[in-house]
Amino acid sequence: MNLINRPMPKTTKTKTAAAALFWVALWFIASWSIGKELILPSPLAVLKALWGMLGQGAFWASIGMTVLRIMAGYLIGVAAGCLIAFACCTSGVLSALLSPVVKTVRATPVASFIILAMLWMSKGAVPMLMAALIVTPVVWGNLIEAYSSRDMDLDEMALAYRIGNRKWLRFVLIPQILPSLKAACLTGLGFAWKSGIAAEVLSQPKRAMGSNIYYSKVYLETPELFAWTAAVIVLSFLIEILVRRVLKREAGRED
Amino acid sequence: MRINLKKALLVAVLAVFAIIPVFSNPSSEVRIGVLKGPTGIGASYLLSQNEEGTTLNRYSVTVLAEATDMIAQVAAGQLDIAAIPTNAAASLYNKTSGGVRLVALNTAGVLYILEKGDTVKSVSDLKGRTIYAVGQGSNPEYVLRYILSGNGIDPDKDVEIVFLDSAELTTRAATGDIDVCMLPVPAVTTVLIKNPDMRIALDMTEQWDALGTGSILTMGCVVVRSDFLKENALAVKLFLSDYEKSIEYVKTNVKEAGEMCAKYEIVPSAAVATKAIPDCNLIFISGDEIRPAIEGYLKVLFEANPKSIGGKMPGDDFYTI
Repeated sequence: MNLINRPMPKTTKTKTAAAALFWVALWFIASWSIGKELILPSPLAVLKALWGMLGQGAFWASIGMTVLRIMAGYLIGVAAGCLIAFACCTSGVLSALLSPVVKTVRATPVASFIILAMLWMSKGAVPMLMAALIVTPVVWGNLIEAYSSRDMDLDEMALAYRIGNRKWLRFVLIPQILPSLKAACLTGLGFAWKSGIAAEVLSQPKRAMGSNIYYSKVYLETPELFAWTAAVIVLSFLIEILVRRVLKREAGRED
Repeated sequence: MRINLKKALLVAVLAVFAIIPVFSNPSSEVRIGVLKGPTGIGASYLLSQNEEGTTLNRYSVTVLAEATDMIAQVAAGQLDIAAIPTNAAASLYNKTSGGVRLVALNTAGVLYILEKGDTVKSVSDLKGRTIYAVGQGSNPEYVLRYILSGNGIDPDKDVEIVFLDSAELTTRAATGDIDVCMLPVPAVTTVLIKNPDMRIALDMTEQWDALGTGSILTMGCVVVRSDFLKENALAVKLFLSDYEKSIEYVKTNVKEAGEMCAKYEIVPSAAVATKAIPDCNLIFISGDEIRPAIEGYLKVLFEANPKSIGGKMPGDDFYTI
């Protein structure tokens, strides 16, 4: 088979639907052959659990609080990443001072941070901090990379034409680093979401999706564990779509 | 190239052989699980005898810290016989559609409220306090909630219950960082030895009886997987015999048993274990005596919160060997 010069294969809606059906069928068969709801509940049992949860106010309150916590942390993380990257790009001293810190944060296991943070702050604040801590290095790293690999010829041209700092920022630098920032924002979103939920599972704040995931383990409600996880996944998709839209609109404004 | 392929094949075959024993259980060992803490103490002599090869069965033993881990392993068929909390036994029976049977009861009530200071004289004094506790989703949580409600305290509004795992709560109570907490016996003993400011404020077994439910607070029991029982009825009988002997031994040879508990890490130290054993309310109830002893307790739990025992009262086969 020739692998060269083949376009990315197209996935049609029917293909996607068939694939989804295939995986759900596999899930059905697996749960049926294990025969224990505690180990692997059937899709029907999960759907039933999810349906039951939809009618409860506590379900929506948990979702609301979790979204609030994680998105607040995410935005703080993006802002912090931008600020630190700006500092690093403008001053060698600041760069020497801050880079190792961000790199250390990037390499530290989330679990270590969560356990430590649980000793320091209120339960509700832990997931927020985790989301922020995970996003900051991603944004920082992408921005630094984009800044250092920018086209210096354009800078020289800007100097030659004496367009000034402000115009250089707007017309030369930002268009070059914006794609990296966007990519970082999208990758960071997934990370923030996952680490935020993990933090909630470990610290168990009052109203939180992560706490409920933990409780479904403690109370042996595996279908609910799946249902909460499904809710997390759906929410994460929705928020990604939302963020993509916002980023697109921002990009449109630039043009 | 050819040699490399052969090598790769060899490695693959070896890997498969290395993995097989993980999935199958070729030896006739009975896989038993016990928990750290009060429900595990009664098995310490059995574990020691097993190591010396003088038990009726051969056992491979797993000692775990968390009841939920044990339950998952029983449900997955990785353990044949396990000592677990009574409510978890009923729950496991319901969630596996009859996958386990109750073959023995091993621990009666061992829960106490400890306090730093001298303000808690009765359950109603707990109102407005923060109570640190162990056993979320297990007997301790349900017993605490039941006793609070029975004394006119709403466990969700009038008090704050903070659940921690046993090791963390024991450490924090021992270092004086906690005012009011609920712990089971060997942990109670540890805390009282390490922190003289702590005292026993309430005996939860007494409080349970005071509510007049007519049931016995029974915290620990032994379950066996139904499939295992079907194929190894004799091994289960032999286990019960080994286990009964073990409990008898532990109750009468407190010092030696204490050392065994420490050796198998059921209790952190021999001194604590030896001191705790007389208060551990160890029992051995099997056969026809199980149902009358436990059903009332499960019923109380069920009426308080059906979820505590997995949604419904276990059927007749739960008690049949």
